[in-house]
Amino acid sequence: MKQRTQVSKVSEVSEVSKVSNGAGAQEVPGGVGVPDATTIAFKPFENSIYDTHGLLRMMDDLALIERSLFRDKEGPISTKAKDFTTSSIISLFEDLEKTGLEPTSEQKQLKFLKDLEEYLKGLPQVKINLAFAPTDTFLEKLSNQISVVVGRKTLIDLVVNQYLVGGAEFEFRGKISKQTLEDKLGEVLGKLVGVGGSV
Amino acid sequence: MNQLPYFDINTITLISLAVGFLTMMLVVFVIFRLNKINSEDAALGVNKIIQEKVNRQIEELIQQKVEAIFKTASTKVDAEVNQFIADITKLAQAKAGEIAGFVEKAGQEQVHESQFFVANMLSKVEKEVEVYKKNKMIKVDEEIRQIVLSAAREVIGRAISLSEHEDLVSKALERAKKDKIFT
Repeated sequence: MKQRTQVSKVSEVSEVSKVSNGAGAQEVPGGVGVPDATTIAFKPFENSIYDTHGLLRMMDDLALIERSLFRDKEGPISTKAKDFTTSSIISLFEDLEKTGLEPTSEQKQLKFLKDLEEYLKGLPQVKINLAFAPTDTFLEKLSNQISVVVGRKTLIDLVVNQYLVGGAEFEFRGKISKQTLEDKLGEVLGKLVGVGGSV
Repeated sequence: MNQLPYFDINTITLISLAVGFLTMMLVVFVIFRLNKINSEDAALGVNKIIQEKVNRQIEELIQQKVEAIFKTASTKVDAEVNQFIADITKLAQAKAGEIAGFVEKAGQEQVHESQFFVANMLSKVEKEVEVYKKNKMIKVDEEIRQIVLSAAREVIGRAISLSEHEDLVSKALERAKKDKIFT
């Protein structure tokens, strides 16, 4: 078992990690527990992101949409926000309106946005160090696999470090699992040259 | 025109006689004085001669006495100097013996100290050389390792395709699951 509590020397703290309350989940509306209507309403937003970059983009969009409220406009959020953002997030709000889960009054809409932000910030994150820049598809696949194991949507905080050569290093809630070719090379060379230790 | 006073022959003769008498008296007086002076001078010359003789005798006597004293003193001084030299020589011989002993002892101590110091230094230097050698070897090994690792990274990194990278990551994920880091 290769569980350690130390943080890798090459890992970097992302902006999301700074604003979120650690990598752990927060008890926010729609958090862990019996899913209510609000939680169900947050799911499309949650499912549209799989890494911290996507989370940051979404947080920016939500901040813009918040500004679009109270501008003497009536109607759903998508209508009010169209002049402020052209992001795909608009379509998510449109889908939400169709299901009837979006609040109608401006105060409730604002609360909905705030709760959504808190919910997304509270999503668990796993830091992954890779030796290469992966495709979005592969990242999404990784996120999905990890989310299944964690039991909740888990975002990937990706760091590309070419010195790893190959493989990956996972860090989740202070625990680290390192399976990289760098380590294996270090071990082999240590035996050959007579100097042990990791690289 | 003034007229000379008129003197008769008798008067003149009388005057001449008086003058002659006075002159003669003066000459007698002078001779008398001269004689007196000459007799005093003669007495003084005798005294001087006697004085010189006495002085000469005194000088001779003094010289003889001084020579005698010098002779006696010289003999004494020679004896004392000889004695002093003999004493000094003895003392010097004694001191030389002591110094030689001291020097010999100090030399031996110095040799012992030097031997100890050299042995100590040798041991210390040997240890330092050993440590230095060991550290250098570790550094060299580490450098070799870094070079080989760098080359290996380069070669392997280029050799691995994207799908192989993904495969390695998937395997790493499986291992992480087994390690239960997500629970």
